[in-house]
Amino acid sequence: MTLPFVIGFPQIVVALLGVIAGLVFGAIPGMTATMAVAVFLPLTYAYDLETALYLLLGLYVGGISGGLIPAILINIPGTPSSITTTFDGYPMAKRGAGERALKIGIVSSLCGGIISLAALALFTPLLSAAALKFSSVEKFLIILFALTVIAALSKGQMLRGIFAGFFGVLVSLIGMFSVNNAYRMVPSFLKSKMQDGFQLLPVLIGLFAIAQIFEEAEEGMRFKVERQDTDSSTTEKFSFSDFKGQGVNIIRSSLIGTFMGVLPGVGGSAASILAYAQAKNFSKHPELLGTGAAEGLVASESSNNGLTGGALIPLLSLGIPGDSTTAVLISAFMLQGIQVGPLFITQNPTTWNTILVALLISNIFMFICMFYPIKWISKIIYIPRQRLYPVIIMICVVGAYATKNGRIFDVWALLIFGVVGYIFGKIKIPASCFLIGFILGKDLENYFIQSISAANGSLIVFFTRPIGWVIWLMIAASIAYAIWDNSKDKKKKAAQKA
Amino acid sequence: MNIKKLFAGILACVMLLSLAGCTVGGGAPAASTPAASTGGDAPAAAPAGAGESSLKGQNVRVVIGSTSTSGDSYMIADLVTRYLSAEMGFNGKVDAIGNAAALDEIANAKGDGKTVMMFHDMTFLSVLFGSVDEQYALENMTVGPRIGQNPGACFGAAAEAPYASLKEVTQYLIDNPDKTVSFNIESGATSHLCFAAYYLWVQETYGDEVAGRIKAIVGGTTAEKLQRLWDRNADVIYGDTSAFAQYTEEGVQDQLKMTMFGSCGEVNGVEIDSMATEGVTFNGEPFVFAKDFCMYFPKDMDAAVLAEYEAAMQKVTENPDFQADMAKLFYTALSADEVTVEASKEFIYNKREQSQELIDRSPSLDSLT
Repeated sequence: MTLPFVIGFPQIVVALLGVIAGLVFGAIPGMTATMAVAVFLPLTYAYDLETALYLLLGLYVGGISGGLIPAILINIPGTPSSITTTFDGYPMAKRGAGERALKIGIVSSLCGGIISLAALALFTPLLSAAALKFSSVEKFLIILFALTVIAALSKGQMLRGIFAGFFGVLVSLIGMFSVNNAYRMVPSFLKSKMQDGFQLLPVLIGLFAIAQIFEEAEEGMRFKVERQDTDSSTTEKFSFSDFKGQGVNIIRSSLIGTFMGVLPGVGGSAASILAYAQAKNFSKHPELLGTGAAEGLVASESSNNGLTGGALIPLLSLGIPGDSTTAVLISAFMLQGIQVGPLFITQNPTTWNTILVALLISNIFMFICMFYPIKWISKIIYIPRQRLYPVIIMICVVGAYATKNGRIFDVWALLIFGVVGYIFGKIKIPASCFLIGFILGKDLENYFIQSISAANGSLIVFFTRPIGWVIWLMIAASIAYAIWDNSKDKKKKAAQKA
Repeated sequence: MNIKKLFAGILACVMLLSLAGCTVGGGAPAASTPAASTGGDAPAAAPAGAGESSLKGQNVRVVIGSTSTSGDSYMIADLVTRYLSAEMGFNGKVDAIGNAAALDEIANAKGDGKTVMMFHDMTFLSVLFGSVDEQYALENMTVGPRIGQNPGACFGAAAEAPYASLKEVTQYLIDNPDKTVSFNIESGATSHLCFAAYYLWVQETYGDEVAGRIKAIVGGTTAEKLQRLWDRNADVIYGDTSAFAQYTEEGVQDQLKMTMFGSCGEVNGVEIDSMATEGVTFNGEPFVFAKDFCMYFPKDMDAAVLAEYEAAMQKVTENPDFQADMAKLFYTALSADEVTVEASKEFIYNKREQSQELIDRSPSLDSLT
């Protein structure tokens, strides 16, 4: 009997290698799944399309998943989409539950990957049709909705959080404005370096990694030695009962990730931000999110792996990549002479089935490669900081340098944002809010301009579409809830003081 | 082994690997800008060539002025690099770093041939349009051999639109004085220039009133332009025939289905009227503006190495396998005479002059948006 897809020993081996290499890329701050796929792309010249897909999808799944390791263990998101993993993962690791946090993250990643794969296999025509109903207006509103997470994240210091978020948006707009080629906020001597503004990865690892190292350097070694003494007897053990009551959270977050992937140009980082915000909004104990709650970790990791299947939907059904990694993936199809687009699935059923199988196998390999060795990896947290930090700095510098294929300017940007993050810490401005503004700022502007230019400058366009009304309601509810929650928290604190 | 020693060993290895990653030419292509796919069959692996040159065994970094690894810039540069690597015996790698970064790279690189920029007309158009400084003008670099041509850029509209050619767009504007037609183009790119040529032709032939209702929507990758067309936020978009062709086929759903017209040159194997055959003229001559790809080197380029590149490119362009690979991607290979440094320089400078005249005469995009 002939199988309706391609699979064999070579494909399984390359998928495994792809997942392992992807995990390494994802785990190194500054390296991403996109880079992993791009680096390995030339290798696929030697393969047939199906074998190439096993390798590249393995890299994609591994690259997205690997980011949780540094996010949880050292508070540095390995990839932009694991920012929200740091919110609860790192506090868990700090209290000695690193292995448990990692395992929760890995299982959530697997769930996210499988749910998005099911969506890809069963609902591609339906979801691509839905994606077509999302014009620039809806995309602008979705990004605005994701920005409301800033209000939820800055509980107790909402004004500072909102300031940081808007500041992040402002910084994201530095660079050349593509509509008229004018430079904004760029000194003339930096024009050649800053055409595209600051790159996300140096900003991300500067704010999280370098700033943290500055802070810990200021605290000195004595404190670190005490931390080393944290005994593993206090370690919280992982059990699948950690997922009790998390079913809805997993499904909701995975579907958010999948749908954000389906919307081309909205970006993977927005998926985990949005899923995290919704987990907080629907949580019975929202006050625990951000302090080391499994709920937040589950939301973040299931949504960013949910993206993998989702981002393939517009690629394979419309010919439009759903995220930056699938944009590189398109080259693999081109090199093999295959056109991805509206006729791809009907004209290439074997390749289509192979993609589904490759994605399934990659997710399983990701789980096996991470879940079992993780108890060794989690010991990283016990390495004395004076030994670990030089290596982290080195990796961060290399990651920043590689961002645009070897530019020393990005290393300077890393340092600048390390200092910015350090100052933010001193004046209690939440760096995560700044980063969310920075990540979403460019898309926010892009879709705003697209919307109003199509409507001859009229802002009414944002209030005329039914899907838009629904998103406006969600935005209003999210902000109202955050304000209510914030004032409740203040009252509670005031009562405690009294 | 003591666990501390093991960790120390692992960490030391990580540091070494990190340093190894800092070698010149390392790194991955940047996150690519989405672009719709191109068609054609797979190009074959480059054949073994003579493999002799002063760069034999060296790493050569080929930078391109695009950040996409799926656009024509990457595809042509990658193909040429593979053939040149075989011919000259070096290890070439294409880095998609974007226009400003690529120009800066060439401005600061040594003239030893280990850094090459392969890019199309945007190299000089970006200076003419003012999106990069004058320091990146052609005079401050060495124009090397041309490598190929892509005549396949064209306009596209929704299949349900009342027009399927530039002539019909113009007629639609004449017949409907209350209507406008919006064109989605990129500022400072070849699409900007082709749009300007069409605008000036309409203005000259049918007057300001008709031309005044041609509007520009600026910015976006091919994927974003396609989405604007599907949202009906743009009436006409500009992109590559190879990216648009699949949406013209039977079986594509109505919202996505489109027509393509007004290519900037004659495209082999594709049924499409070019701007010239549609009657668009500039200075009384049929308007043709195919994307020309060329090698660019630092200003103080070593003449002997440049001559080696020239000789190798002449061999590559005459190689039937290379010609077949170019044809599969709908690109045009050039003759050996056309790729000499002298001929290439003259061609590129003339093209810049023609572009300058067009830019000088065309209205600012601010007045057309």
